[in-house]
Amino acid sequence: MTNKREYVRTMQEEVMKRFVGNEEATYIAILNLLHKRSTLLIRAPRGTGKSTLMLLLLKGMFGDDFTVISGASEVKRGEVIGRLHIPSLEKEGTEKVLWARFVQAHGKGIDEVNRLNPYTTANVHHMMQFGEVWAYGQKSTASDYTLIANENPNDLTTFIQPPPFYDRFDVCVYLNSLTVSQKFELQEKNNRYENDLINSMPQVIRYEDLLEIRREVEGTELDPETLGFINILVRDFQVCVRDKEHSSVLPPVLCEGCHFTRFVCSSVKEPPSERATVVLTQLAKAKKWLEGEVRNDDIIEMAKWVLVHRISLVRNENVIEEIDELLQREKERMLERESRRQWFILNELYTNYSPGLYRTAREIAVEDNVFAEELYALEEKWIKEGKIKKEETLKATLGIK
Amino acid sequence: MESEYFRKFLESKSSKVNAKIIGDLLAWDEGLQISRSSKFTDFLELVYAEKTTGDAIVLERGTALDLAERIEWMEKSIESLSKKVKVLVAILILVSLVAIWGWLT
Repeated sequence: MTNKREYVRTMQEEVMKRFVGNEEATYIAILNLLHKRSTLLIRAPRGTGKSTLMLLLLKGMFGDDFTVISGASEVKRGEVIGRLHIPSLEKEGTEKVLWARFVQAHGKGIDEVNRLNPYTTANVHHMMQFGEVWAYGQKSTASDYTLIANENPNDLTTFIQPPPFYDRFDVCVYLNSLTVSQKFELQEKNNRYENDLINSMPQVIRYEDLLEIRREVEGTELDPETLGFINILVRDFQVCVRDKEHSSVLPPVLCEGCHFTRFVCSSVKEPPSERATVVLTQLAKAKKWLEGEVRNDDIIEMAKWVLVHRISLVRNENVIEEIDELLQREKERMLERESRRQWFILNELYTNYSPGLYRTAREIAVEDNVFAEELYALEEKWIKEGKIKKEETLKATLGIK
Repeated sequence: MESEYFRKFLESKSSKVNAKIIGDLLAWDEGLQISRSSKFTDFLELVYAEKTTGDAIVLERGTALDLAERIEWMEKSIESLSKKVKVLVAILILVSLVAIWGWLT
């Protein structure tokens, strides 16, 4: 098998031979494995296969060469990060650290991540952020790795993990419980593999091949329009003319009387971090590398799993349904932008200031706060060049500081 | 600072827009979108049928010439009738003035 794409397809096939339903979540989880320092969070209720999926993915990539720690049992620093080498301390008086297998392993798993103690969480968080771990004043740099964690968000835990920790997970997939026919399917699979789904999973991708795949995915180029689509989509979830990022009052209260209440921004309490853009770009590259193309509809689909753990919504009874609805609204909004030819107008205005086009752009900006931000930037430039006066700007007209 | 990637995005978007800047205005041709189900309607069908099948109406040359001739005849009739109306109004005013003068004397 020389085609590396075949490895990835085989990986998906082997996982799906042993795992029932949740095809979309599994596909995204596999796409997410194709970039460096990949991190995945699986969320599901008890007994719906989150640990099984985590182990199937780790086995498929690393065979038996991976380490899983569990938040359900007491995890000590020595088990996760490293411990002192006592003989060196006693004989030579030097503090030598024996780094734990979890730090050194290329494949890392955390079962029930929401039950980790804060100390372990802080260490794992640091590793995910800076690619290094510290113990006894010494540092170990983690090479390329894959970290897969799972949790049941409905479990009551002693500690609440901080949102920035969850933000470090590239994607978060939600699993559903099985329908009647799917239960039959699982029984068939269990019989076929003698009730040992995980141990029957073969290693499909060698570590060297995985590194090569990741290099190729990283080198895959996206066209400017796909990049633009990703950037605009994420910005739609971040933008707020009332600066909610720095406000103590959040939507819906903050949105009272705002012109833009019909847009996605008014449904988002806490916006996603810039990591959402980075991860969505990585997923788009992986999709293009694997399938040969990535369409805007694919990006909308993938965005769900990138945003779900990074944002807090005004209506959060069913976060997946709510995000789905917001993303559908985004699809329509993108079409509206196309029909207004607004990027063409902005491009013309970047080249030449034209009062007539500026008037049209102002009308568009009233309908699109993301476009408005770009127009504000141009207005600043034109004020400096003496083409318009500050009191004539759209910002001044809308009363935005 | 302007981003090179952002400008590339704008340029790429603009290259696909068939629009023109005319003075201070932006103009583009929407094109006539005719779906498979939407057919052309004949002019006579439009005149005599209650419902038409399509959004676009086509005229045969003969029908168009008939129509143009009819419009010309109607324009001439309108011109001649308006002249007659003007004369009748003048006569009406004259008769009214004579009647008023007779009533006063």
